[in-house]
Amino acid sequence: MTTTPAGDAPGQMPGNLTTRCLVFQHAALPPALLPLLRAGGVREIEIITAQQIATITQPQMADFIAVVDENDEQLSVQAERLRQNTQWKLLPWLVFGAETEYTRRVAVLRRGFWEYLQFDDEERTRKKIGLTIDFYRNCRISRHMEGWVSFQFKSEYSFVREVNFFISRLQYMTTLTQAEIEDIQYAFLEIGNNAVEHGNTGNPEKLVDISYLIFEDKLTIRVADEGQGFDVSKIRNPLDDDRIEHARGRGIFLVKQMMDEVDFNDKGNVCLMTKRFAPLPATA
Amino acid sequence: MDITREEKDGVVILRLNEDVLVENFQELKTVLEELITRENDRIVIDMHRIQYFCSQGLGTITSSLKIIRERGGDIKILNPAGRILKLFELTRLNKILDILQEEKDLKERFQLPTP
Repeated sequence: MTTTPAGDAPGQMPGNLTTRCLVFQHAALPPALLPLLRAGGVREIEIITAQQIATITQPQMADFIAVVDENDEQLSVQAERLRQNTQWKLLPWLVFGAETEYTRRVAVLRRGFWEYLQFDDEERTRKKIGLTIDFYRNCRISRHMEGWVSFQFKSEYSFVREVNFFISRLQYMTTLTQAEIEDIQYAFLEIGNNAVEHGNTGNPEKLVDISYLIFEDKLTIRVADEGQGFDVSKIRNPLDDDRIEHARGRGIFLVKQMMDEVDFNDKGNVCLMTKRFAPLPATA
Repeated sequence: MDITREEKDGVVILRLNEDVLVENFQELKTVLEELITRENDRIVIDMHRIQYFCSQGLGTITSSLKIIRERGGDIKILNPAGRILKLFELTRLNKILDILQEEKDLKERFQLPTP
């Protein structure tokens, strides 16, 4: 494996940590990638080829992994293999490519990668690298954060279901049971659909912003839309005698039953919902 | 939305072959409204094939139920999977809806008092 010295400046992160990134690449290294990573604050870059990936077993020190999107099955399969290992899995995996298609981005996120970053969107990509590094480090250090996924999608119900698909992957990343994951999926579908229907009033160009944060002891999902919000205090209890036969008003109630905590901001366009993990059985 | 409609002994059985989603629950609503217009007031909704029922879909059933019960008819639920039964329980709709575990003597079930 070759280590590429990255730039002249001895760029140090706060706390004297040097930012280190592993680049997974199969066919050719896109010329735009290394300058982009350096611009994003990465000081040490290690390039790992497909043959080398196949032989790696031990997790390596890195702040994140940059995977070159070459539409290359082999690379994805190998990356997938490594992510069976918890320590590899908890690293931020970012995919770098030239694709501008939404569907491609969604396909990448479905595989469990954190972000799809485009070479030609330099400013966003640079910012995102910086944010990922900071967020990952701070959270790991101060809040026992185990992982973080964030993305935006257009206001279409089909995207809400796409997201739900990879919530199902939490089964492999956390101690959540199948039944708990189904609860989370139901809650997310209700809140996500509300964001599309009421929040963004079905305007597909408006965005819904989703992130989920995996802590040591809980999962928190944040859903934000670009709408006017609503008065959360006006939601009636659907179990009241005069409401039980009513057509609406069950969605948020069900979400509250299925999650441990559900909160909205004052405006009512951002929802935070949390599911706590059952404590692990004590090890002998 | 894929719904199979059968009629037996004056009871209409709607078999839901597809999850009830925010995109398609209107179709269930349309079917129920059509049955109400025709005064087909004995309806069984077979749910054994589905795993997801959006909250608006539940609302569709309750609002149709109100009209139908006022006329002496009923909507009964047949064989919901565990996930769906949980939704009925959490919203306590299991207290007001008649939930059947098996498909027999349907005609007679409509002659019994409703919950």
